[in-house]
Amino acid sequence: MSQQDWMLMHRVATGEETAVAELYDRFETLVFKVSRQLLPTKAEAEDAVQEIFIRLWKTADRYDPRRAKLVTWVMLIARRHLIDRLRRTAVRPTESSIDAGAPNPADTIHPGKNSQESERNAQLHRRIAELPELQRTVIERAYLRGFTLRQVSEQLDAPLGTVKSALSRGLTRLREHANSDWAS
Amino acid sequence: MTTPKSMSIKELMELAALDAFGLLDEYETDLYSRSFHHAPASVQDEIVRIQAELVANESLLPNETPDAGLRARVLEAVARAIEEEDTTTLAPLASIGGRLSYIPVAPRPRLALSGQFWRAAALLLASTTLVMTFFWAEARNEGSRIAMLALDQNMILQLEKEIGPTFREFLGNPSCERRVFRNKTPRTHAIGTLFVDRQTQSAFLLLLDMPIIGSDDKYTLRARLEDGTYEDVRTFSGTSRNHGLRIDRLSFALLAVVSWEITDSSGVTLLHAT
Repeated sequence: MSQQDWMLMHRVATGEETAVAELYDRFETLVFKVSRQLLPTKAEAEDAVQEIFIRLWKTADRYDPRRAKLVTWVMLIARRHLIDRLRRTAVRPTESSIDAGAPNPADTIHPGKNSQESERNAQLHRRIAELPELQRTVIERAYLRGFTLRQVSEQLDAPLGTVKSALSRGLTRLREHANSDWAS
Repeated sequence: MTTPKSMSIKELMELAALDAFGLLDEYETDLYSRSFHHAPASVQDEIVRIQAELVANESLLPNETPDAGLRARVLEAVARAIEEEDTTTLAPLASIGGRLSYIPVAPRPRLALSGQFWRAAALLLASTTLVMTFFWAEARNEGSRIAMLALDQNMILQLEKEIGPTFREFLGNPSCERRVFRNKTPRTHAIGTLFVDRQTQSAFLLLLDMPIIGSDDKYTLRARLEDGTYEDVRTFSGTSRNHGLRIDRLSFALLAVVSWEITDSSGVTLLHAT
């Protein structure tokens, strides 16, 4: 599959219409869902999907099938784009507002979003809530809000290595919980 | 403070999730990639598997689906972006055409890139194709996959001889720049790329589909320097269509050349790269 994937990206890089369509059909759902996870409205998520596929075309010749499966590459490009977008917007939470219980400024800008937000990510938030406190905080800030690990480290006054470990363990646990939910 | 040159296998495994989600900073991402390439194949396979499983896990994502019309909008947006890049690439030629506006210009079909842009893209991609396939074969030790590209055996041998196992590191080096050649004459449809590594002051010239010339004739890679003078960097035989040549010990002047050219034995420029 990897070599076919590489050939697909090669065709995408040349601007071949059918290849772009094939790429879209394979990853539309995942790219849309990750966009929806990080952005407050469906309209913004759909705009982001357009931008992400343009970015995938622009970076297609850099895809290395030995380094990652295509799904990993696509999701990496998608997440990087979404994080860039989050960082560009003025709705980034300030340090004081990200303390537990404080509202995210994004929520104030999009009134009525809270209920949608909580429903949209309910499953994920339930799983995150089950994690130890540090893992939970780090995942919320780095994975869901786009803070760099260095920023999170400074906000929490915790060593960078500790933040990294907490994030890595937290993500692994989330995956394991998700797998066990699927199995049950 | 010392900076680690590579990550241990334990670190690679521990940071696999962060790498997959793009949560490492730029320096760590580079370090992770370099360390990954030096890790045993079994570790690489495991990391690739874990990362794919992690990012594709939809149970961590919202249960919403996009509107049916999104597909058409996205494909249209990508097509438009490609068109725009095409137009930008052709800007100098387009402005010449503007002055000669009485010459009718046929409309270009969407996504059918103009000849020149297509050639420029092909120059880069063909080189990438070859290089990537070489990596592929090198990594998997499956020489037969190279043959799928229908490259001639001389080219393969030349690449193996000239590049060796260090080629991947050479191209993976952040200080390695690519100069893509464009045809200067309708006599040739060759494509080529010059990879210049400022750090090691070396370069690699990759040329495909060059015209075959007599055994006594030579092609020359020459550089145009900032003061307008030319310096011959390397001559090579024209008895093969494809060439892969490593050039070591580039002078400092050659690291900042204005342009590169491939000329034939009579001094005519066939290919040009800026």
